[in-house]
Amino acid sequence: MAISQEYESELTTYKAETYWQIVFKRLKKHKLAIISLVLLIIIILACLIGPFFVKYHYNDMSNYDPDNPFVGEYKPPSKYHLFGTDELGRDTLSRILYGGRISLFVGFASVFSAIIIGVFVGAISGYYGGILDTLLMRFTDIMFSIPVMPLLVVLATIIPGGGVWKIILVITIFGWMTDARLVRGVYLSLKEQEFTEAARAIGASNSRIIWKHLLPNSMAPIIVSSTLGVGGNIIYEASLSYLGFGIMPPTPSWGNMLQNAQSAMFNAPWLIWFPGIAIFITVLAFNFLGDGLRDALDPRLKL
Amino acid sequence: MRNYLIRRILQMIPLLIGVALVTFLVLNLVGDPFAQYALNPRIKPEDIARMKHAWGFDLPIHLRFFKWFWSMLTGNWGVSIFSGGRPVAELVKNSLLWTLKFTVASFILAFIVAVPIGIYSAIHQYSILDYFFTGFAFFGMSMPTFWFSFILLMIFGVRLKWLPIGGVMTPGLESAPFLVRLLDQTKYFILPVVVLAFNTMGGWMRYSRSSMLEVIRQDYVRTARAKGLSERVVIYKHALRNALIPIITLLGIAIPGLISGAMITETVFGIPGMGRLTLNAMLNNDYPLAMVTLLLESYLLIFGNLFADILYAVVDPRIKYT
Repeated sequence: MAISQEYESELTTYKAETYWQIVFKRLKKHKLAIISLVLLIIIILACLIGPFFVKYHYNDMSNYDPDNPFVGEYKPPSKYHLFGTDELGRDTLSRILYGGRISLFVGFASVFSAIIIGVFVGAISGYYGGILDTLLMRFTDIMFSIPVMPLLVVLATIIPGGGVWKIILVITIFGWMTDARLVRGVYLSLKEQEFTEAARAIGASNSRIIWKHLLPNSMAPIIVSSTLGVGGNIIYEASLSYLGFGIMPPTPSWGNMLQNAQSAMFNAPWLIWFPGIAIFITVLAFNFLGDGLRDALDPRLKL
Repeated sequence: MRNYLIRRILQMIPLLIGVALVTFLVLNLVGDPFAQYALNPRIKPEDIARMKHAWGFDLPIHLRFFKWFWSMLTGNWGVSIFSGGRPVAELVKNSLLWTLKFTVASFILAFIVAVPIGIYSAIHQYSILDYFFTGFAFFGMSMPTFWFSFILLMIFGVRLKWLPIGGVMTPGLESAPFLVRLLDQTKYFILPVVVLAFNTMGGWMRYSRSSMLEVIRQDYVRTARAKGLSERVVIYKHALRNALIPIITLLGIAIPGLISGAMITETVFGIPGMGRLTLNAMLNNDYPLAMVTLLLESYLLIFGNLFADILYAVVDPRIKYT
């Protein structure tokens, strides 16, 4: 018997969707998260390839020219310097694009290294439990009792150097504990579930269960917390640089561009607006994306 | 209840010692404070050894820790190296007073603004204002504190000239009548208090919103509606009272943010508080002072959490003190 046309659509079989396809489908409904994702891709691309297209190098000083009122130090935005120039006559646009590389790199790299340490510690601590777990968790308790900003300042003073890697190290040192706690909590609940029992029953080794069975199942909270973490770490870098403990000039970062900006408040407000807006939009986008990912990955998740 | 209190306080002791140990060890990584004397050919090695002995630096590290910790506990905090040899206790007392003044003010401001907004958002979930406040909360969380301060300073300090752009009081008013001084200081404190409050507000709004949402979905709220109570009585008499209980934990959550945020806000506005003192101590390599301030700030945090926990236990009769 021929199937009439009108029912055909109901008969077509559906392709089985993978977990990530479902997640992406759910994420697409979250308008702000998608806008943020697009915005972030644009920002990252601009910082990566932008510096090749701007007229000035980030350290070029625009010289005073008696015939041209738009070049020199503390010049407002004009067609010569789209975002104006700073106290040494350097092009702000070029510094923002190049500084974006540094700030984003610090954000991503510190989250990545903190996640690696955090997952390792949290997994071991949550899976094995016992005295190791107690020791590690008491240690995280202690570290959580020291306020973040003073701790960051102290660490930044003690570790020598003023480069990008030092800041990444400093942020990682205090950042991994949050991830360790998170992963430990997830592992504690996962190790009691049936699939872990099943894996153990067929003779999987402990390390196989930890890395092959439990880790993929705890990806959702890890992804959400690292997305939110990138934004947070960009702010930490900026705050440290503002206080003078971050990335040292002449290397620009969004934070240290604002370091001298307080004195520019009266005569060069663009030096405050542009780097600050760059930080603000980027961090806002990471926060919205993280929020959308939380809903998409696991609606029950509370972070 | 008494047992709970005692246990909670006993649990705190290892934490207090642990924080002291970490502070001590971290600041010991700075290196040998006498290293630069060794480079000077005019200072004999015997003299360095004598100085080390006089300051107790020739002791093994665990003895040094106990010696330091004991002097911390007994209030013998020594003198600051760089502030002209002034006693550390005196420096800390003045700074702590400033910090407490403006963090408590911004705490109260954040509380009275954020909690009602969060509860309103929960009652009118998915309304336009709910979306607006959610966006507002995200804005607050995404802005670097110091940049937000710059913006406010540019608008209200430089452009409109309504408020002073830094400091804590107008020079020359030190001996003015109390009321004049109070008004004067309020003017200086408006911006820092708003900045610090704004920073914590976002998280609070979302927290009180989700706390209220949870309560609204409970069975007893439905029962109250089912027996025909007016919406106002249901919300304000039945739901709100229970929603307010978890909000007390905000107290504990807010303290770390306030202490950290205070450091930046104090720097921007030139308030001589604890954060500024820590920062200056680190900039000047004044480690004895830095150790005291870091330890005090951590203890402030621990005791704040203790206070929040106890308050929570007192307010919520459902908590079992086992």
